[in-house]
Amino acid sequence: MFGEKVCKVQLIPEHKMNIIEVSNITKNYKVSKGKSSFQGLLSSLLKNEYSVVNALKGVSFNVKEGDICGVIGLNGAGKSTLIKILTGAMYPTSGSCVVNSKVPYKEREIYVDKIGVVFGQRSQLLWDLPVKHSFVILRHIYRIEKKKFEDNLEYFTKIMGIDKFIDTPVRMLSLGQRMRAEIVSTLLHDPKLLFLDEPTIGLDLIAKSTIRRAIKQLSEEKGTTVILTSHDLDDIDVLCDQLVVLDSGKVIHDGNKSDFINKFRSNKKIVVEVDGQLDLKQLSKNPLKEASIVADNTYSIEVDEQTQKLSEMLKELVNELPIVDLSIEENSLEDIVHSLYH
Amino acid sequence: MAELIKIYLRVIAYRLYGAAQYKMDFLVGMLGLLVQQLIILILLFTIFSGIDSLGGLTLNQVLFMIGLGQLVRGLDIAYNDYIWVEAFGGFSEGSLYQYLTRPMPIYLQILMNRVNTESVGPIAIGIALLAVSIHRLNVEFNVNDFLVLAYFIFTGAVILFSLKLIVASLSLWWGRSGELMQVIHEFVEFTRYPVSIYGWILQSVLLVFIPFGLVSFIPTLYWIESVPIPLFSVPAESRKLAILAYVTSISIIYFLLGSYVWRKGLQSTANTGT
Repeated sequence: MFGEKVCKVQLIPEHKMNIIEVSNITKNYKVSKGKSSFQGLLSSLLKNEYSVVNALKGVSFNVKEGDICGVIGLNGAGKSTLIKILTGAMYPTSGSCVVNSKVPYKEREIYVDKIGVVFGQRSQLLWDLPVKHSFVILRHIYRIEKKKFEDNLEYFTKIMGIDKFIDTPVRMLSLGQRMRAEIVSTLLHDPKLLFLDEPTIGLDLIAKSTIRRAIKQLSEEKGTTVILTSHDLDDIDVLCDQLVVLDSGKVIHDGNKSDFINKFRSNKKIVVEVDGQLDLKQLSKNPLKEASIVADNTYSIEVDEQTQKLSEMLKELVNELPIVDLSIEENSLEDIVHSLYH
Repeated sequence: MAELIKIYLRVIAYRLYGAAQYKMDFLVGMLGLLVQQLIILILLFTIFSGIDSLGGLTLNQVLFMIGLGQLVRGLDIAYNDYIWVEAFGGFSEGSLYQYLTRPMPIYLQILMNRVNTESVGPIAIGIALLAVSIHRLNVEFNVNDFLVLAYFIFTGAVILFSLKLIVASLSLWWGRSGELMQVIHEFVEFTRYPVSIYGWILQSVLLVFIPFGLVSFIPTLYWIESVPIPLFSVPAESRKLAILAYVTSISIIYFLLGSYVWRKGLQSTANTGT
């Protein structure tokens, strides 16, 4: 009996349950019409005119427990509005939203006890105090038991690598260090869901990579569901299982991230470096007529494999141009989203 | 509720620790407030060097009134100062969203954001003025009187809290209402002197619409029977009761109004965003 090892086996359910169910949500805002002239400004004091903005137009999607879901879209696509509804800070105009078996905006105080929210550009750490003091305050706010708090603190400081500066005042931390501490501060109460709004904004490559690795580890080891919005598509590419793409308040893609990339990644890029300056107009067949200039003497050509054969394109290029170097690249997620919107 | 108070006090202890990191800021801030108080007192002594009473109140009675006012305002600055930051655009810059994602009442979170240590100045001066004036007034101040005084400190704090709440709530619709809050706050200056010296319009403003006059002037009249209550005629025998009822009802009305506007404002932002 003595010395017997007890192995903890974490069972992963084959059929994961939906933790977020969003159904046909719309959100309309009334926005005051700005007046440019002084006369218009005076008249607006007496009678305010509004226009209606449809921020969300029938958005539906589900997220499974333990998944990492990326929400992307250009500015004004409706991401912030959607996240505000999901975190209970805003009511939708119509439609329904159930997160962790609660309607967020109707049961706010109970609901937010089980979520963590990181705002990339807002801090919930106390500026003048050591990082640990902010954590202790949050322990009181979330009423975390002492033992659980200490265990979580040890675990999260390790995976986020913040143990070296936990006693340093927040004002003396770098942006990357602060963001890592910021993420830990939202995890101490063991949230079932973590909302990350631009968690890597303004960070250098090493800080970004540390945060991404930690989020991945957190999701795998704790089973935390993560909703991530980011303008850095590498975040999405590295982290997410599921991708929701918003455009002008509508979902234009909801599903597996790889499906999205495969669906739109039929296009490839040929990047060629040529010897010396070329006058594109002088070339007889001009294979570079659709090219864009990447650098001096380096051109990038989009190939749509549904209408063009890559081999023929390559043959044409080799025959026509004094090539120094040539490579074939797949479009990145960033390229795909960029081409979708333009 | 008891648990929330416990959390509040714990967080405030950390805030005080944080404030202690800036000793110079604290000293300069407190010195500024002390100078401000001294100027008021010097001005008052100068005025009283030429006259015996102001608006029916003697120097000691005015000192009592100022002492009460300073104590209440000091307490208000101590615990309820951060709402100024929110009124000056804090909510629309995202703080509200942060409050909404934490499992605590929103206003309590605002209160937890700051304890203003500079309030030590007005609180100390307030207590000192009250002690000196009570001693020099030669009035028998028994336990009941101290209880009534404590009650007036409480109602005064409720009035200041409610007025700030009403105006700060407007920022939930407008984005910012700090400027209006500043304008309304300026009316406090009028209550450094007995409200009885002003005309009926200003009296109405200070005793009904922006009721700063109920923070210290009207409570002072509880102990000074020679000065009539402005705007109202009350029989002498029910005067004390009338003052208590007047201060209580205005505190309750403004508190309820504040809570209503605050709730409506939050509802509005939940519908429209900030």
